[in-house]
Amino acid sequence: MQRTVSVVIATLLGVLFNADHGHAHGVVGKRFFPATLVVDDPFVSDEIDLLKVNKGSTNQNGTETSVGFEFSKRLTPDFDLSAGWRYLFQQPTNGPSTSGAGNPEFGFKYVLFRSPEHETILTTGFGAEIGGIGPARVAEKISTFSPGFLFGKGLGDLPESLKYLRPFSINGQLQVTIPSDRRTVTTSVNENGDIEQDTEHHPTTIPFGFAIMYSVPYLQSFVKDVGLNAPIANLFPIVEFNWETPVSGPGKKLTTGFVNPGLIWVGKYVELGLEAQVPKVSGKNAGINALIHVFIDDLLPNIFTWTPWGVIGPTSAPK
Amino acid sequence: MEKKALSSFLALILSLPVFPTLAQAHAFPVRSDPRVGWTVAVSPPKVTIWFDGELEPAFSTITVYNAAKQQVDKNNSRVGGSDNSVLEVDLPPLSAGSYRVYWKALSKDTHVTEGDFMFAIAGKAK
Repeated sequence: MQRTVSVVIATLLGVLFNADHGHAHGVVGKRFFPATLVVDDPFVSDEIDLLKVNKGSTNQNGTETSVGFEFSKRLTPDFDLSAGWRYLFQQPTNGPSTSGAGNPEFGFKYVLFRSPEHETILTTGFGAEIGGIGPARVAEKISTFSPGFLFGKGLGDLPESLKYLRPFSINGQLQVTIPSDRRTVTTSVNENGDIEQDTEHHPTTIPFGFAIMYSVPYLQSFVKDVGLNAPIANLFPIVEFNWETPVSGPGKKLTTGFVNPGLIWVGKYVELGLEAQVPKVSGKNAGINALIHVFIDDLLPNIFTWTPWGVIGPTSAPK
Repeated sequence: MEKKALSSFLALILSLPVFPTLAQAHAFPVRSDPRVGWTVAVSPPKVTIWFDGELEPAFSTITVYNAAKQQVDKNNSRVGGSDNSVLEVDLPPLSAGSYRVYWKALSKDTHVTEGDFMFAIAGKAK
């Protein structure tokens, strides 16, 4: 076990010291947007969230920690498909801890609009969690479907007098999550031999959020070289805000919301992110978000930019 | 066994990026002379940008414009001699004022990056 830990640490350090600048995965104009940890980013890509960890804060139901990955593959320069999966660890407020594989998640994104000079992008996306595949103790029996919009905007078009604000960018998402069933009823026999029915309601919800970040690489390369070197020159200080509001069912007013301050570091082939998850509307104790994200089209371009219709080139804005 | 397989997989994947010869990635600027956003005392003989990867000479360009948006470089943009990660262009003697450098870099694996930045020459602009 000790050996395994040292191998992982050594390889992580290797990644760090092989670092340079960020790469054109979420690029519009001269702006590079790294993948964000909570809010989905608006770019289509050939990339892997190799390891995505969320140790959630504690809410009325208990605490949930997830460890998972997501793979996305472009089929055209403006369209990608994605598939993801998470392993869940749950500590209910009442009851024993449990764990197991969650349901698989699939999705696609399509870029509707790009403005390189204004560092702006608008994308539509669709996600689906296929219910009933993971074990019932941790995974939902129902499926959910989530159409939505995603956007990104860099502030590179601010006037010269505000040039030190140009490295700021914002990206966000607005979705509707629609359950395949409004409620599920579980029937059981209690210790007295009576039949009991437990009804669980599944509301339609609106998840939305945005991320604000400051790009140190943008400052260094396009505004003013203030003399920073790697690894500081590769940092993106970030705060993400996310909420989810039920709009149907008994839990209609129970909005959840979080503020997620943290840091993203982008190297030549890999991005690392770490954020605190601070509950703002309900819940207590801060959680943690962590991400290891790999730019596989840079790492192995001949393999991962391939499509059945030919190689579509790097993940960069069409000229 | 499952734990061992998982840690081996993680170690393998994490070690991939430490071998830079596996792939050429996008070329991004590391530094420049004149430095981005700085004011220099005298007109520099050329503008040089160092990138973090090798460039394709035929499709990597650098141009310099004055405040009146006139091109002022000697129109001899090139990838520098023995170091294919350096892009440069010669300048004639320039008067005081601010100048904007536009660059476009095509890395060896055809990834395109581009950008611009300003520098200034001290003194009163003519």
